[in-house]
Amino acid sequence: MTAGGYDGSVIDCDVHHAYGPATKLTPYIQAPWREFVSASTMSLNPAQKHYPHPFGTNKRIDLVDDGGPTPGWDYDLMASQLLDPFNIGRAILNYDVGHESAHNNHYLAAALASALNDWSLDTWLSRGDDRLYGSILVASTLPTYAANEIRRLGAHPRMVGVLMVADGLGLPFGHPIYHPIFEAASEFDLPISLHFGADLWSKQGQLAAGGNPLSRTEFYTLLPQPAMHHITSCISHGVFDKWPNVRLVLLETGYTWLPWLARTLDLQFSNLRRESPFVRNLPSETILTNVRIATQPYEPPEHSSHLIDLLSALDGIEDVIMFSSDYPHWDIDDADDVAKEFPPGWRAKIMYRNAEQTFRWPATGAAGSPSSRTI
Amino acid sequence: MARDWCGGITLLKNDMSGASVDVGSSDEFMDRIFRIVAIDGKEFGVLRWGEAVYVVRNICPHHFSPVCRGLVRESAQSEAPGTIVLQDSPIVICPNHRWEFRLPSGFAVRSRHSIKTYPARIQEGRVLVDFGARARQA
Amino acid sequence: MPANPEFIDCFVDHGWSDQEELVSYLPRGWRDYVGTVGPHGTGPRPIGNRNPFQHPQGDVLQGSTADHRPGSSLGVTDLSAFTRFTSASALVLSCGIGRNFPAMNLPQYTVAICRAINDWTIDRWLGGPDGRMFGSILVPNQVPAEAAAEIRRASRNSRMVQVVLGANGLSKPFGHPAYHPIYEAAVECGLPVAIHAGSDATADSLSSPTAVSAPLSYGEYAALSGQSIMTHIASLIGQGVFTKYPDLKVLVVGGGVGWIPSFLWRFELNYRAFGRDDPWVNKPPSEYFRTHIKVATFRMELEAPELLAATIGAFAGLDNILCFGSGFPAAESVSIESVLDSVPVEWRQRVSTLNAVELYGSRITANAPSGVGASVQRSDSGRPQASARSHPTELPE
Repeated sequence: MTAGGYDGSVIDCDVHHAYGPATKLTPYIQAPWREFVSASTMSLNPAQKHYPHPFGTNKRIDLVDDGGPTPGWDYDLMASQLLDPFNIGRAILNYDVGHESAHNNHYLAAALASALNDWSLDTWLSRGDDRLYGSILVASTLPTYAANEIRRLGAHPRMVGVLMVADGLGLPFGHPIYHPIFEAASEFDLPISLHFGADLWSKQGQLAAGGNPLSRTEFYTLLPQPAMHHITSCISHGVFDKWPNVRLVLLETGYTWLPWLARTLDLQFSNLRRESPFVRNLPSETILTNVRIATQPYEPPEHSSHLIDLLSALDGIEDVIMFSSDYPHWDIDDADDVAKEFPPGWRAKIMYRNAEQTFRWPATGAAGSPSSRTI
Repeated sequence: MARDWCGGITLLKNDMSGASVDVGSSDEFMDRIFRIVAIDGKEFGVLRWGEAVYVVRNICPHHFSPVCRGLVRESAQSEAPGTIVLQDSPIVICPNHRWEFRLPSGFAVRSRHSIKTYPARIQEGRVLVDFGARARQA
Repeated sequence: MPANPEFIDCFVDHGWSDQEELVSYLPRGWRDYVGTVGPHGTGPRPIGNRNPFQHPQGDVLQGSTADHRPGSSLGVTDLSAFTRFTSASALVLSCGIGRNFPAMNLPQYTVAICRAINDWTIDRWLGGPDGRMFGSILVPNQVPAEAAAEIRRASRNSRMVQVVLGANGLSKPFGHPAYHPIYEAAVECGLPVAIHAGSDATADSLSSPTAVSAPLSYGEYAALSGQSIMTHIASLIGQGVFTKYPDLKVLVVGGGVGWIPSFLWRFELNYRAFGRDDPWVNKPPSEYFRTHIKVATFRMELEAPELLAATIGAFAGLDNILCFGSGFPAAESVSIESVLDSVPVEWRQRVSTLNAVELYGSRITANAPSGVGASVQRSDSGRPQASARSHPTELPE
C-alpha cells in the first residue's frame, strides 16, 4: 500500500514503543535506583492530571487481538501493522510516552529516562532494522542531568533527537533555567521534540489557560496551548538566538494553529523586542527556520479549501509540517489519508523531506537518502 | 469476555440479492459482540442484541477502518448536564478515532456520516440477512 | 468609507481618577475597612488588584485618562473629550481595572466592591444627559449566589446591558457548574455575559492566562491572550451551559479572531471521539459557537491582513459574530475606521452596529438617542433616560 497521491518512502516522526511490565525495564535502571525500584511497590508512573481514557486504553482497539501481543510492545506487530503496509522508511520511536521522566522524585525521573534510553537501544535500535530510530528521553526537571544524558548518548548514530514529555518545573521552555538542555542538544546538532505539550504530567504546569479543562473533550481541544506557549517562550527568550541550530519539534498537538501563532507573535514584535534582547527577527521567520510540527492528530475541516485558506497565512508552512502516525494509539493517522489532504506539491516534503532535514540522521547507513541538513 | 473478530465464514453463495441469506445458527453469535463474516470477499459484522440481530458492512465512512472491530455499547444520552441515561439500543464504536454509530439506522451520533446496515432477523434459530436492501432508517 | 460611521462600541473602559471616588459608594463599614489618609504614614488600602502584565509603552494611550496615580483605574474619566466617539450611538462601559477585583482573596469584600462599582456606574455615568452611556454589571463571581443577586439588583437599571465576569474567582473554566447561577440570573434578566482576556492574569487567580504558567513578558501575554478565552468557550460548550440556558449569549473580548477556525476544527474532532464523556453536548461545537457567542474586535489582528483573510476564508459566518469593541483607552485599542477598513464592505453594518443590537437587544435600542441601526425597530420609549443623579441608597434594594 502506498500513500494516496504519494508513492515515496515515509518518515514517521512519532511512534510509541513500550517495555510492557516494569520488570522489563528494571535491568536497565542504574544503581542505586534499580535496587530501590525492585524492592518497592511504587509505580514508575508519575501522577498525572486525571483525564482517563474512555474504555481504559489509549490503544487503537482493532490492533489488539485477545491473547496476542500488545501493539507497541512487539516488533513484529509494529512491522506488520505500520512499517510494512505504509512504506515507512524511517520511524522515530518515542516510548509510551516517556512519562516516567516526570516522576515527582526528580532524581528517580532522571534515572528512569536513562534506563528507557538504554532499553530502547538494546531491545529495538540494535536489532538491525535500519528503519528504526530513537529519541534521547530526558527529565527536564533537572536540566544539568538532562544535559548530561544528551552528552552521554548524543553521538549514538541511532538517536536522532532529544525528547521531553514534561516540564516538571512549571515554566515555559524558553526560561533560562532550561537552557543547559538546549546547549547540549546544540552540541550534537539534535532537535528537541516536545510530546503532547508536556504539561499533563506533574502538578506544576498548567494544562491550559483559565483553569484545568473540565472534560477529556475540553482537554484534548485545548491540548495545543502548552505547545503554543513553549514556542512563544523559546522565541522570546533567545533559545534560537543563542543556538541557531536547535530545532523545536512539536508532536501530537496538531498543526493548524501554527499560522495564527506566527502572525500573532509578529504583531507583538515591537513589544517582545522591548522586553527581550534576543528577539531580532520576526517570530514567523524564526518559526520557519527553527520550529517543526507533526501532523497528528490531523484535524481537517469539512471543506479542505478552508484548510488551505488558513495555512496560507504562513507562507512556507509546507516546509515545517512533518507526518506522524502516533501508532499504536486510538487516533492514529494513516499515511495514505494524511498525504492526500495536502496539495500535491507539498506531499513529498510533509511525508519525508522535512523530517529528513530536521532530525540528525547518521551520516552513513541511514535508510533512504543520506541526511542533508539545511540548518 | 472473549471477542471474536476472526470470523471467516465464507459462504458459497455469490448472489446476495433478493432472498434472505443464511449466515449461521443464532447460537454461533454471542450476545452484544460482533462476529465478522466474509461473504463474497466482503466483510460484514453480525451483532446479536438480545432477540434482535444487526448486520453492518465492516467499513467506517470516516477513514474506511474496520468499524466492527471496535466496541459495542448501550446508547448513552443526556438532556441535562451531569445526567447520563442509558438506553437498551446498540451503539457501534469504531476502533479508529472512536466514532459512534446508532443501530439499526447506521447514522453517526455526532456527524452526518453513516455505516451501511442490512435488515436481518432470527428465524427458527437461523440468522437471515437481506443484503438486497438497506435497513430501515430509524 | 462614510465619514463618522455610526457604531456601537461594546468595550470602553470607564474609570475613576482617585479611589476615593469609588470608595464613597461602599457601605460605611467597608469604607472604614479601606481606610483613609491618616498620620504616621497611614493611608487607605489599595481597593483592588491589578493585572501584572504592563504594556512596555504604557497601558493606556497618552492623554486618554485624567490621572495615572497609583489607585487610578486606567479607565477614561471623561468620554466627552474624545472625538472618536462622536458618531457612536452606544458605548458599553466595562469597568477598567475593576474587572480584576472579583478574584481577590477576601470573598465578602469582592461582593461589596462589585456592588460599589455598579452603583458608581449607575450614579456617575448612566444617569446623565449623554444617552450613549450603557453599563456592565460587574459580579463577585467567586460567590455565585451573591453574583446572581447582584445581577438581579443592578439590572433594574435599564441602562445596564451586560454582565461582566471579570477575573476568575474560582480558578475554574467559566463553564464549571459552580458558575451556573450567574448564567441563570443573566438569562432571567435578559442580559448577555462578557468574558474578557486577562480573566486569569492577576496573582489572585490560581488559574493562569496562558498554559504552562504565566508568561514572562507582556508581548507573550498579549500574543496568547486568546488562550483563556478558548478554555472558557470550550467549557461553556463542553459543560452544557448552552443546553441548560438556550437563551444565553456570551461576548468574548480581547483574544483576536485568528485562533477560531483551528480551535473549532479541533473541538469537533474531539466532540466526535468522546461522546461518552459529555453526552449533553447535543450539537456540534461550531453550531453552539455561531448561535451563542459574539467576539469583540479588541486585539483583532488588523495589522496581519494575511491572517485575517485566512481566518475569514476558513470560518464562514464571522460577519455575524464580530462586534466592534475598541478597548479604549488601552494601548492596543482599535478605531472603528481601522476595523471597518479591514473587513469586507458588506460586513460593515453588522460589525459596527447590528451584531451588537442582536447581542444586547432592547435595552440598547430602547435607550439610545438616535436610531441604532437603520433597520432596527425601536420601542415607543425611544428617548434616553435623563434621570437626575441619585444617591446610591435610593436605588431599589
